[in-house]
Amino acid sequence: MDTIINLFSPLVHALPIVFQWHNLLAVFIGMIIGIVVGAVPGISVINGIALILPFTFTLDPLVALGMMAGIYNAGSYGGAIPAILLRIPGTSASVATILDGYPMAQRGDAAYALKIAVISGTFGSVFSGIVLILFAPPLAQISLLFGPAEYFWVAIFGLCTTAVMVGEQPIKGLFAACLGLLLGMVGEDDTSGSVRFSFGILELEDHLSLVAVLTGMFGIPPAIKMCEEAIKTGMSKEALKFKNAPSVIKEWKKYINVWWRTSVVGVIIGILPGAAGAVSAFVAYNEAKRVAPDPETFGSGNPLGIAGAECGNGADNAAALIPALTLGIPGSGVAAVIMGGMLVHGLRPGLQLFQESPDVVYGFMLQMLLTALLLPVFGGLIATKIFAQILRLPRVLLVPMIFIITTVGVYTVHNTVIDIYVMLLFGILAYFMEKLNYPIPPVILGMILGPIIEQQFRLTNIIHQYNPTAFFSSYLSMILIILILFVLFFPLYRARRDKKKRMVNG
Amino acid sequence: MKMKFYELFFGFFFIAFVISMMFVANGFDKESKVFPLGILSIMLILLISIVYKYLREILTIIKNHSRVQSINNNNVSKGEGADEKFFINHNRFWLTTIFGIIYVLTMEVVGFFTSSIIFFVILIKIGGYHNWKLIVPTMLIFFGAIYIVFVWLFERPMPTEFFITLFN
Repeated sequence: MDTIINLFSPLVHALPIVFQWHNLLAVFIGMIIGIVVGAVPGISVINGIALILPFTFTLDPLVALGMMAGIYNAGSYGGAIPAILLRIPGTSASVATILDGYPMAQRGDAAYALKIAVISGTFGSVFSGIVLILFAPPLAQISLLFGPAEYFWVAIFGLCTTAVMVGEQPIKGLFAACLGLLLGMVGEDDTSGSVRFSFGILELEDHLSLVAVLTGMFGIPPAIKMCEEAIKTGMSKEALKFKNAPSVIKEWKKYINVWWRTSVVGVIIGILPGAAGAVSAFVAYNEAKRVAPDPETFGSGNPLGIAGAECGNGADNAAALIPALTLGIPGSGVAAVIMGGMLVHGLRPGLQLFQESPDVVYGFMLQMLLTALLLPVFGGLIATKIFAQILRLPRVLLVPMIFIITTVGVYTVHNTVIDIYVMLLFGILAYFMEKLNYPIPPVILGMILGPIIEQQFRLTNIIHQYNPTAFFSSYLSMILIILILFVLFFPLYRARRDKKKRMVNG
Repeated sequence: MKMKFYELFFGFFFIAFVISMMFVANGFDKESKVFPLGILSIMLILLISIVYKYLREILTIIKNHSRVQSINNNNVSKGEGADEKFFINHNRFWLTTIFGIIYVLTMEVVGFFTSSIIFFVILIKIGGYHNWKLIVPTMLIFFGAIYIVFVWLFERPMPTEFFITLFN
């Protein structure tokens, strides 16, 4: 009993801090930004967080994390707005929402579809937030079992899973992860003091700016793509005229079965590294279809389809942070970027984080729950109408805004133009990489985990006097190695199996 | 087919990059070069397998294509994925990139607000948008907000305006 009290007492302590006015304001601003970035096609939650990251550099960590929590949860819902109204997915996860959301809007039930989306998203996000609060603190204790060798394998495992799961081609994901590891080595080697890959540029000796690389890789490519598309029209005024819709909360009995099931699905997928996002929305949609009394109507405007997709989408948000906060293995690309944001503020995931900065980590978990609970306020019909005004702006006008915001944000972190050059260089590189299906999140994760992996590798060698068997000596290491091999070779097995199937089917 | 050539081009580009980085890393201290060389070696293996995959696919397509042509001396097929486009609009891509580079290179010389306003207008023009009734108020609100947040509230030093220094 005492252990449980000790485990969760920091939560009570963090509660009043979360409700301090500046932290609340950050949450509100984050939610507004989140709905806007989620609603604008071409800009995803990950881009939104990357865009605001440089601005949070000088802020209190909990203020910065509050903004990120707001963007994360609200952005997930924001994607549903254009998905339902325009048949354009605001985020990749909202593709599943289109299937039934758009047909509902076509028959005049846009308001009802939006209400289902926001309430279902809230249910999933709240469930996920509670799971995060309940499971992250005890899971962090597990990291006590880890020595340097085990940490080395955990970091490799996290990197491999993200690299393999995020992209379409695992080999390209692994290359992206290695590129990230290499970028993490730029600058002074913390152990030996020698300078690596700085090419005589003084600013690079102090390592590549994570903020510059992250903002460039996630902020610049969508801006270039928008400029190429040059869409000069915005949403029409008529599309935002809604007729009255029944209350979803009053009809909760109709949805509760789907909400529970898809919440569990979303949480499980969220915890799996690299699998969150669109995957959870689609799996949850299929689960809703499987248990629905009328599965044949899915795809032609069944409200349960929206409920399943949005609830599953919301449920993976906080869950993806469980491995990120406890072990430093993010469950999704967004969680990787949030982890990057935490590192910028000097917060290193793991048990140390829970012990040294309890107010921040417990506060952040509470903020995830708070933003989930506030979703109906920011995603209500009136609020949605206001936020959707951004969709009326021609998208071509957003291009210079994104460019200039990223530039000013990155410049003001260290007041050096080198960071802007780095941002643009990696922005252009990311554009080409995206075009060729090289996933970007593994690059960032590699950059974050690179120094940790190298440090633990060296530490293991020093402790065990360069005996290579030290990396395989514990059961935990062996389990992690088996998991890594499974993650790396499962796609190969799957590809061979699919090939055989195709050959059998002619 | 076109995309596969791009894949090959970037594969070779990255191979050249990795090999040159290997030479650089080889010059580091004994302790500092183990890890980078290890990573670069893995990258090289991955890249070789990527290049091999696309090279094989291209050769297969070419072989099939010539077979089709020899059977039917007709322009039957332009090859797999002939409609695939790398750029949505390559003119706009290059213009955006070139002006983006000019923007960041000149910012310190010309000043943040001057270069940003010029860049804003150029990007809008590249996008082919001409509704000044919307552009002007958007610019005013946008740059006003940047000035208020960064210069007034956070007091962040921005690259000095060249034209203002002329009058000082």
